[in-house]
Amino acid sequence: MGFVLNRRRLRSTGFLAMVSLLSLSCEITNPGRLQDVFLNREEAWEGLVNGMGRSLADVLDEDALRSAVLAREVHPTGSGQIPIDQQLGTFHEYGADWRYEHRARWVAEDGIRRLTGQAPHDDPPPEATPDPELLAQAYLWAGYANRLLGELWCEAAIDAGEFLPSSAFLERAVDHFTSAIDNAASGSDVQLAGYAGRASAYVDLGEWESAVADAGQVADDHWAYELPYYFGYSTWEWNDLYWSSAGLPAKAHTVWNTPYAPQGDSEEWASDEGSYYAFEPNDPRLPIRVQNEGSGARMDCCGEIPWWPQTKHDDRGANIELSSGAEMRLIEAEYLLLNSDVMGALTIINNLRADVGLTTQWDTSVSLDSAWAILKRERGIELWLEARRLPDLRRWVANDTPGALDPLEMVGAAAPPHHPSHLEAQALCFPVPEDERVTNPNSGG
Amino acid sequence: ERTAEIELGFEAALLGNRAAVNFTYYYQKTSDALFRVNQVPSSGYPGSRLTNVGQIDNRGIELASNAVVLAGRNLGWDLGFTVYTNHSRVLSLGGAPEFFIWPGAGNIANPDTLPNGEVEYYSVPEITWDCVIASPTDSTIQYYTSTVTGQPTIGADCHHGPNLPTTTLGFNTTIRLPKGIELSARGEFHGGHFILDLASWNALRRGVQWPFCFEAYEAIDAGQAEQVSTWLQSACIRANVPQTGIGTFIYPADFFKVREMSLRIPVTPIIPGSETATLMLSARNAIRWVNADFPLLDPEMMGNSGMLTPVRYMTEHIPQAATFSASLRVLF
Repeated sequence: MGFVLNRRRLRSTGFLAMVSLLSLSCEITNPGRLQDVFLNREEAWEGLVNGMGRSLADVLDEDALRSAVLAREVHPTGSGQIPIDQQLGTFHEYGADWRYEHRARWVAEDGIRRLTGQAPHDDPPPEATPDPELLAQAYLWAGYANRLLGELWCEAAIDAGEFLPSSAFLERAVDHFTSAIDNAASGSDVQLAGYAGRASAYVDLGEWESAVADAGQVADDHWAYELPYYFGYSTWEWNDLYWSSAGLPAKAHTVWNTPYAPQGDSEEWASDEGSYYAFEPNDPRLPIRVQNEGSGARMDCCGEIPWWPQTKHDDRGANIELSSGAEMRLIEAEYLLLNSDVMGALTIINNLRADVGLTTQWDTSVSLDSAWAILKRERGIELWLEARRLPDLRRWVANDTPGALDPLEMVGAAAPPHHPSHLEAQALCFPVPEDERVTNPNSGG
Repeated sequence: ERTAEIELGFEAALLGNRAAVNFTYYYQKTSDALFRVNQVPSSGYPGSRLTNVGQIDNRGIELASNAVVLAGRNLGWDLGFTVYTNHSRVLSLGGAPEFFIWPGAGNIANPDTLPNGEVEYYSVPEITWDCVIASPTDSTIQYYTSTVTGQPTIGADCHHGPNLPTTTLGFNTTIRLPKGIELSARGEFHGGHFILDLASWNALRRGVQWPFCFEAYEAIDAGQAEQVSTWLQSACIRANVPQTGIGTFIYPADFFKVREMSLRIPVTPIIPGSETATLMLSARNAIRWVNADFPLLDPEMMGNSGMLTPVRYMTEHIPQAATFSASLRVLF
């Protein structure tokens, strides 16, 4: 028996071999999880813009808690959830907040580049143009992300650039808010938030005429723009300000021994000059659960700390206010005080108090110094637990603004019968962390 | 990354096969080593990224030897020992800045050229943090047994050393006695490395009274803190405890443990009806030596991630416990 050459089989085998050889290639393209260029397409834009808000939400609640501890909007209980250095009033950060705030900033700004056809890729720009409201929302998120950086951090560094004053973030915030205003529909919530956000950035920059002009665009005292949080999704969607002191099981902070809670026997309302430590019971802007329960944690000063949780953020899905009409009125009031108009400023403040149902009114004939103290207190109440108090303190200290602060939010002894704040120092801004200084080639070391 | 390795070694039987030696020397050089390099945070990327970075090398020896010291009919003695060494170095980061593989402490650092021209290489990773030094003009790192007193001087970016042992020594021995009694022991030494004590740091920065500070508290409470060592002042006075990180609480972690000691005694005659019966008494990790600069707890403690962490540290995970057991095995 010999070997029979099967030409048909040989041809098919040869064909298959040729196909196999042709399919061999030394170049492999790994598409990865999602190609970057897909994010330039119209179908991705809504998700991109939603992601900008989520990135900001991921870090704002943590920043609000840290700044609240330093500003004594809340008092630490001694639980390790708030680092010891922050409990005592200083801030040494390994970089987590800085990193995630910059992620929020970059996600928004990079997303805007994609929406406006400026993404640095070889692909052609998208054929469609984004819906102006969507683009306005993107600019709004970028504005708030930059405002957060500018208000909390002592210095700025952007995209691995050189270190700059923190005002660099605020100037970017102004630009983004301006773009939000220009793109949003007239009178829409996004446009109002653009004006309100820009007004607050101008305040931080000391540009008061511009601030007041923008504040006037938000006529409704009851208007507010909130950053949403969600209960039911992943934990990073939750409001950590609530979660960290909800007793589930964390009781990291309390409102006990802060200017915002009852202070021993000083519960009676007092409008005399100098009695700014008292508060009006049942101020709806300061929901707190005062109770006879310990936190389970201790501090050197005081043993077990009483646990009086805030209830302004009363759920894992509680939103955080970014801007409000009431804040705009307080900007206007502060501008009046800068021009020594006590009556005008306190009239605004008293109107805000009446708006929320408070019956006691500040005496409008007090001194300028007293009026400043009142404004500082009212602004603290209005912006309580929104990551805004610390930048206010920083601004007033830097400008040597008159008007006493509550001793419970300062370093040093308090007048009896009050406790001291238990602050051993007070950082008024967050220093840029070590990992930026080490990795950034333009940091100067 | 590409790794080139050379190994040289030999095996030998000596003294009429009563002793055996196995020796290997290795040298390994990795180019374009893959590390998780921290990105610049202000660039918007919050994490680290696998990056081919520079060159590292590892070298060491592996030596194992076993010997039958005595081989009598009623008496026998076996003895064995092992020596493992591993020394890693960062040769170059290829122009990349040094970076941490673990927040703050596990440093991958470029070599430094010293004033005398010598090059100092750092291990992979190098435990680096601020620390107590001898004085403003003497950067010698101080540890628990330091006798330097006065005002503490804090040095920046102190290079302590590697986080993993560079030298591991082991021994094992078995002695066979008449009547089938057997005594065995096995021990191990780990040395050359440093460990982070987050447990003590977390306690002391919360103001907890801590055992290795007891000797210092009396002087501190009497306002005579400068009479205790600068290291103890830095660790035990709450205001001095570094809030920025573990700083002071990095120790040499050299230790020796007797992993097992056992005594095996045949007791068949005293167990009626048994074919064989053996009593075994053993102790594991019962004898321990730690170096004098390791003040508290155990160098085999771990953190929440156990060994799955770029840099080993001590927090909540207790080490292997010392155990004592007695067992009687009877075959009927």
